[in-house]
Amino acid sequence: MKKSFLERLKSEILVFDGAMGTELPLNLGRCPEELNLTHPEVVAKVHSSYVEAGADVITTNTFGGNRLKLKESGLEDRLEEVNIKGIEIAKQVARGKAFVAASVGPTGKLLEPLGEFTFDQFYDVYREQIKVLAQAGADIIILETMIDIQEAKIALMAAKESCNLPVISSLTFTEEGRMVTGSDPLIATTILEPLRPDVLGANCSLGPKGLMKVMKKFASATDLPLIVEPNAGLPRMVQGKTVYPASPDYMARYASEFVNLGINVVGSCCGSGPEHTKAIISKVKSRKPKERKVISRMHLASRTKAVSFACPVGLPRRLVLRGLSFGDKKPIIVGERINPTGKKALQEELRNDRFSLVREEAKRQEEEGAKVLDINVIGEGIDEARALRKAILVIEKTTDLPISIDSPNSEAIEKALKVVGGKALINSVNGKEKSLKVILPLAKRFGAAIIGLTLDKEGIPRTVEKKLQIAKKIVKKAVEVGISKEDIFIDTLTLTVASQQEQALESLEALKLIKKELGVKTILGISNISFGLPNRPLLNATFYHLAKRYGLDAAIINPKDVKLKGSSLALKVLKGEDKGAKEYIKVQKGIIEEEIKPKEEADIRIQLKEAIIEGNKEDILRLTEEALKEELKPLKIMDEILTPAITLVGERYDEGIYFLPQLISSAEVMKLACERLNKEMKKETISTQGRIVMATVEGDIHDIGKNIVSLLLSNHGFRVIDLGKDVKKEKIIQETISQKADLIGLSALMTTTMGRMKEISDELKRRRINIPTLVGGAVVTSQYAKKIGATYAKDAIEAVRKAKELIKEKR
Amino acid sequence: MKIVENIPIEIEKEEVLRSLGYYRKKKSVLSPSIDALIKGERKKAKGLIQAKGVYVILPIKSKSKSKIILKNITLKGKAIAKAMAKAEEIALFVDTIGPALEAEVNRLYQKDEYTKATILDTIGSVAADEGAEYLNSLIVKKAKKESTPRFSPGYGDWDLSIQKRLLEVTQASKIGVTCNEAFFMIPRKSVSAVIGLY
Repeated sequence: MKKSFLERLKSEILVFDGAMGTELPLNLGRCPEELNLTHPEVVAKVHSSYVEAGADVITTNTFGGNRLKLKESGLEDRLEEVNIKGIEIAKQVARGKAFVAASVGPTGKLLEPLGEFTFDQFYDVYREQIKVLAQAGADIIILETMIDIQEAKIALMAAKESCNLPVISSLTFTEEGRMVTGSDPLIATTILEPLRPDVLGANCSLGPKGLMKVMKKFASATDLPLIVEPNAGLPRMVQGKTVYPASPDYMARYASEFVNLGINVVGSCCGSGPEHTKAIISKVKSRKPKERKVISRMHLASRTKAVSFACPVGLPRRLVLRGLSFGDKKPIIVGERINPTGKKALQEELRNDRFSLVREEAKRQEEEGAKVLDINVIGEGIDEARALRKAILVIEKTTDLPISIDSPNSEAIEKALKVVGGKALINSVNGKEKSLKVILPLAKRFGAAIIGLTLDKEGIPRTVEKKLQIAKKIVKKAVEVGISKEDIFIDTLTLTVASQQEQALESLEALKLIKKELGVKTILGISNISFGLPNRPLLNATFYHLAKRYGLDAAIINPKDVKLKGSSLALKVLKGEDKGAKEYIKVQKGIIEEEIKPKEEADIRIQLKEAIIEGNKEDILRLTEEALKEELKPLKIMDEILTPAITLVGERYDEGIYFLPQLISSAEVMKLACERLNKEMKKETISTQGRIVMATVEGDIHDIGKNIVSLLLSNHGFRVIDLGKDVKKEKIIQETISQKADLIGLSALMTTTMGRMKEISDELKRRRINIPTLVGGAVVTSQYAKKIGATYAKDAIEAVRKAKELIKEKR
Repeated sequence: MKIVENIPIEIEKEEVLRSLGYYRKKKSVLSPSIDALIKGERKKAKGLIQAKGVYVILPIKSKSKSKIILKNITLKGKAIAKAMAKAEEIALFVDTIGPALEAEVNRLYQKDEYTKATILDTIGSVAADEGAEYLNSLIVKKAKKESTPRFSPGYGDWDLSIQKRLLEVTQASKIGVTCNEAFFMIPRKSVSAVIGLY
């Protein structure tokens, strides 16, 4: 039978019967459904009037036959009977001349967060009734007069999963053209279409004129067969009686217009009777279904807002002018801020089951232009599944943005999907078999869209070809499971440009190719691009604008960043033209120091490193203490944080990006940190690169250069014995011996004092003291150094390098 | 011999930056924090600097390609001879910014305030140079003549050892400038030089 209803739908307009409820006499039972048991003949009479009128489908008297509704009349114990009887009565009347559609109405209750009921409770209620109806021999299940989209979705899932019958999902709209809980037809289509109802549409509500607007929207949004069953106009009270104003002719005229629109199934609802059905048949029965074009496909939705990720081809200009968000080719912004990584306060809240920061971030991001909110609650001590579910409930009350569920955990994803009152995005699946096997069916079941990451068990591929290959695999598997290509977003993965500079363009090239080859959508988590670099928002914004040109459909990003214009300097970093981002860093340097940075969010390692690079004297001791408190070993702090930082400063100084004061201020700050760390280390474990006796030679009273060299050397782990300025030869040699120095560093500013260097060198040779000498100062040259058997360094940075080399050779 | 008191010192910021190794061409970055430090030290320096100068103008007794003989002093070296080739008479001068600034620099080093110390020291050098420029133009103005570029002991092959004699001839001790056995001037932030007038 299923085949024949659906088959016939392809080639003809099918006509449903009119109202049941308003045709039944009042006061015969506690509820209309009770008549199936007490007055089956009354019900049968209504059915036969429609069959006689020529209806193709009659609808059973089981609208309120679910457990929650029946309970209101104390009939919950007779649920099976009421429903079975409802089918039997109709079948007896239809006798094969008409299809029997089993009516399933709403529970009359509300789901959380609007009400108290959960997904599982509703699902069980629908499943129970629908199973009975299907077993009793219904031809079609019609879920009708749904007032909340999430309830309609649950009913549809339950119907599809408990029987093999065609399922019609029919919703009810208010005068504003929205369902009671706020969804318009575009939103409803977006949410229900992935669950593949066999027919979608609207009933009751506004009368034929009012439903015309609603059905136009449906017709523009989906290629599914559509049903409309208007009530006979809006009911009015006339002399104490409810009167429906629409005459059969009036209804029939509209029926014809509905067919013009491309509607496949026409019926009528409250206030209509067999005459209406007859009139409708006369107008539409000879017509053929009209083909429709989908012109306003949306991709994600909350109960009250839908988001489209594409600009449909051939979009009528008036739609754009009416302010629908099509034609906006900028990548849709998926707000990334609800994520506890690096946010201590948020972590703390989530651990304690509190959600005020989640609420704040949701609101702020919506204000700043996010169209979708990514929600990630992964963190130590956080019960992810529980927190995710609660966060979504909070966000649904706060904003009306669709949700992206950011989790690798299928259990958490499933619980989340059960509370999302819309069509969510699952972030994410990847090319690994396990991920595909577990996540894709979840997406399919709940009608969610997915993000597919181009990585697999071998990790993140570095080539465009390999990325395409993984994307192909994901798309193939997803389509096999029944997910529409429209609902697949491929993420080619953003690697941080600081470490994988060439990968920025590679990712963009890959997404361009994947979009073209596979016809799917693309998405990128933007912010990772800038990790480790200054002024991250600027780089993020620039990458966002760059990705736009490659056809990116969506960007996971801090919406605040998108407001920035891209910069050409940042662009050079992304394109790999500014190798190592040197140019960029140097220009940003000046800017970032004035910025108020969310320091408490950064890792202590990064903060410490930045403090050295920026020469931040105020914070260095506090940060060093913090690093120690976090149980980082002093040696580790030195080797892995401080030394790389000061080395970086040295490199920048070498390149002329930094000038002397910056070098010194970094070195000065480093010295403070080192002194603090040395207190923690036992004497014997203080690492030393070597012992160096430093002096400005006799007669020379300038010691600035030497002071700087001493400072830098000690920064780099040398033990420096600084003898000061105007130091006599004898003293230098004596100290060299007594301090067991590995190296002597000498400074001289003038030709008159430079000669002292040679004297010292000669004296060392005479005494056969084989200790290398490093020399420098205004007039000293490498030729001179060579002549006296010493090594020359032009500045403090080179002195450090040479000192390391000399000591290494010596050892 | 003339003593010039209260030489006005501007401390050109650009010059300080340049002396500290800041190159526009290399697109060096002047961070706000360093900029603030320089500003602070410049302000401080103005209170520490007391710039004074002395000069004498001596007629040339004789000159050759390798030396210029003046009364009481002979300037030896090809470089100085060449630089003064046009000169009809020679002005010798010394200026200093006094000892206060370098005392402060030493104090800062002692306190491990390396950055401030280095900046202040550089400011001192710039100030001493500005003082020399001031004296140079003052001499030129008073003499109503043109001058050769400034030339100091140690430039080219002009031996530093002349320093001692130069300070004696100009009576630089009257403004507190002497030198040590390696011919370093004390206070350090002092400049000695000659110009040829024509």
